[in-house]
Amino acid sequence: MVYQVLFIALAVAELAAVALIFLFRDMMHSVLSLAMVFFVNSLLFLFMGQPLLALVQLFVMIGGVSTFLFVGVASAEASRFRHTSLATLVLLSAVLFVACFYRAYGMQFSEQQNVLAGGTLAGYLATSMGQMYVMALAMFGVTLGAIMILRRIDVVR
Amino acid sequence: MIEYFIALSFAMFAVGIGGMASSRHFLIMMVSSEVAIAASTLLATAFFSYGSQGNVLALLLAMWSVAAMEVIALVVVYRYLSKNELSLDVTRLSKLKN
Repeated sequence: MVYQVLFIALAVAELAAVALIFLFRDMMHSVLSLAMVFFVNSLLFLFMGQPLLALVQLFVMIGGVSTFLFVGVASAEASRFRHTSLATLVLLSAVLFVACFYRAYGMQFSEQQNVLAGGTLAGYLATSMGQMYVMALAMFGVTLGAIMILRRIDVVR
Repeated sequence: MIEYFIALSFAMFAVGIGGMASSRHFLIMMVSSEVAIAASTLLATAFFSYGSQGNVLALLLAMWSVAAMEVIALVVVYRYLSKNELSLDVTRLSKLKN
């Protein structure tokens, strides 16, 4: 019972944070809501018994990505205009949710608890070190590529 | 319990895709795709936690890489558009082509 109440609380917090992204007009607030989405996602990972994934989610998505996005948005000029059609958003989201979920509704899943449980944090990180290097190199490459491409573009108004 | 996670992931994914389609702000559209990616990571973790054998970490690292690279490109383009006083409204971006 406590487990379900906790899940419902986290789910409501997650969906509220997602909705706030579209309700705020200030981009800074929207970016903060996105960070909140990542944080609640991390709590949900913890809820599923995956502390390693929760930790990586916190480090990568909040410590890295959200901070970078926040600083990037904060350092640029703010823009405020009515950016989202809320009626379209609600209608489209409802249709998409029904289209995605109706096949999964009522399915039986054989649950096996916590595949990743039992190992150590250092062990998991050591086995994924190669992937982390590839990830870091790819992000570095994308940064350089984006800057090089943008330097070559002439602004035409 | 996995059914709840599937429902939550699909709801988040639907709002993410719906937001991308119904918004005309460049940054909000990209942030919507971040929400969709976050929903995908949640769904993948739920499946691997409750109903599968194997290691989900490689898949999640790939997803997080895509999300992080998207944000890098987003910030660079956002700063570029703001610096050059171009509109962030995607319906007016055709002005870039003169």
